[in-house]
Amino acid sequence: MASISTEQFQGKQASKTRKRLLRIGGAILWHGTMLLVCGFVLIPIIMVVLGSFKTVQEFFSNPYGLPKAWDFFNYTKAWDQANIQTTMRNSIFITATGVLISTTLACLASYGLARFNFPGRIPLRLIFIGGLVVPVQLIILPIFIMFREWGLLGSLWSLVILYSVFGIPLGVLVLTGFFGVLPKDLEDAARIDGASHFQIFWRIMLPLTRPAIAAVMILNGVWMWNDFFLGFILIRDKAQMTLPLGIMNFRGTYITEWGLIFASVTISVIPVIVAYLLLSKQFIAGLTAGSVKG
Amino acid sequence: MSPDHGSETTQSSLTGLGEPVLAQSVPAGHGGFLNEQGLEFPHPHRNFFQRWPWLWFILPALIGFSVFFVYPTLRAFYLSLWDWPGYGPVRGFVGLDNFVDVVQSDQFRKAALNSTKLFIVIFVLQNTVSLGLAIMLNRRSRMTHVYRVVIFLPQIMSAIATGLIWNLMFDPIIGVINPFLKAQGFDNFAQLWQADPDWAMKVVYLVQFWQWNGMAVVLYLAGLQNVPEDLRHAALLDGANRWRVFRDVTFPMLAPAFTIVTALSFILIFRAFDLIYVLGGPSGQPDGATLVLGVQIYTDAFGESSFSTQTRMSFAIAEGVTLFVFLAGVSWLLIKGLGRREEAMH
Repeated sequence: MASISTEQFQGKQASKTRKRLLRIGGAILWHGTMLLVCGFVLIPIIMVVLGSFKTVQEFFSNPYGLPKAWDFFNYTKAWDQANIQTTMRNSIFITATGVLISTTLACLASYGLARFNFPGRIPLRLIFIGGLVVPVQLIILPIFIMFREWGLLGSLWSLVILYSVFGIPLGVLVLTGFFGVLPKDLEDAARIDGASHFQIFWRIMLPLTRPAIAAVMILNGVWMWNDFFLGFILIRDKAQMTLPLGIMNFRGTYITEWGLIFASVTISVIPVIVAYLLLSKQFIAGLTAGSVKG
Repeated sequence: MSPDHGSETTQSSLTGLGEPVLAQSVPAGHGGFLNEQGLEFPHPHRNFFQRWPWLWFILPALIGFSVFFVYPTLRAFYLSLWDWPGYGPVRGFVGLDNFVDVVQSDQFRKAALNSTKLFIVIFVLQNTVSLGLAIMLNRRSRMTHVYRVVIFLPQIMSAIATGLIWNLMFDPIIGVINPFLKAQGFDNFAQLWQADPDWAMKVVYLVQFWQWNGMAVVLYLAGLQNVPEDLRHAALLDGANRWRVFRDVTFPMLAPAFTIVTALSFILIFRAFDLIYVLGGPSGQPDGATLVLGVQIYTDAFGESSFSTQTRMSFAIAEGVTLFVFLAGVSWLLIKGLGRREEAMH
């Protein structure tokens, strides 16, 4: 065994210090970059929250500082004047029903497409998923004409119908992948025990795909809550507007009531942000599930 | 194997075939019965749905999808062949004239060019900045989760909220950026950001990237985490430097994530509406600088304001059909082409 000379020992010590310095330097650089990016993301959001506490004069005298007082006057005014109480209720209604119906339809269809062998199931799946590349701007035009003919135009139900159907393509894309890989043995065993197709689906297969279903519900729910375009085309009546519609409508009328507009914006994003912070893992996993499975 | 089964007790006793053996073991309503191999046999006397049990599962979605998705899409193709402003009587059959008009329309070309530029800018940023951030985030640290949650945050905010948030930032009167620049002594850098045709589209790039960066980072991060650690260590042990390992080991494994990020942002950008409408309004202010395809189709169909009578519904539908064919075609090529490359690699 060769003994270590003093020189070599000192050399090793020096390289150790250098390594440690490099590591600390790297960590500073890493955290610095990350904080910079977080600042880029968060500063605009913080500015809007600060703005929601300001009076119109404060926007001029103090554009980017803290508000003089943390008073909720903009929020109470927004709740009544900007009609948030109605639009919030409408948004909750269309998102809840839209998610419920579209997820149910997508689960059933995906199960049928993934677990049964019948002619035409591959083109059928492709047609469902192909819905993802149809531009909303195109499909809304004939739908606008149809709903006008049927007298559905302007009602909240027209939105519920569209969200329920437009949520299907994503659901089928994600869920056929998950249903497809479940072992066949499970199904056979249940069948021999006398379970019907629906019982197998409901009691055995559905619980096993719960994470994927949660992902679909989150993705579609966020889209329905946030969507502006469909309602913008179909709804004119203030009493039927959803949150984004209500905010844009209010902004069109009271263009300089910045405090009220930003209070409305803050109210509209709070539910999604709270849900996101509570379920951030599911949100992020949902996006990856939605795309990687494709 | 008994030909009898299920609930058809009465029928079988009538036909004199004796007591059905399977009557208790197979419940009523079952689509068929099983032979020794566990394969299902359709019973000839069963009705439609029991013979094809999958129909029960698919039918509800199929009906909804046919009425509110397939039918409107087909009707759009049909309507694009007529001359019609969107109300009143149809003016006549024009064949493909609407499509000729679309291709020759300056507005449509301008919108298509802006959409393409937006896609290219976002594509470049996603494959440099977002990919870089994903690589940086792909290490274990107490803060990794926090940073990832923050970076993904804009993705879940509505386009309306995002647009209004950035309107506040860039507003020349009440905005945050101009007063801040002036306070720091950079008066020359203050701009009429959204009113200046040279700057307006750059603002759109920035805001769009702010919102979609998180998606690309998360997808690339998921792709990176699929790269087996062993493979990288083996390459390092074989004497490859970090750059070589990234180029030859990590990067090729990112191909699926690259396909998804590219296809997703392609589809999302070419049909974007909400955010750009908040930033630029129905005519892509200022001076059409922020006009994109999604907004152009809307404006042609419904006019610039609710009082407008200058609507061209069938022309707008033709624009939409053109966009749809383009999106479907390119998505198909993207997924096919990039998918083949991935396969070739494995």
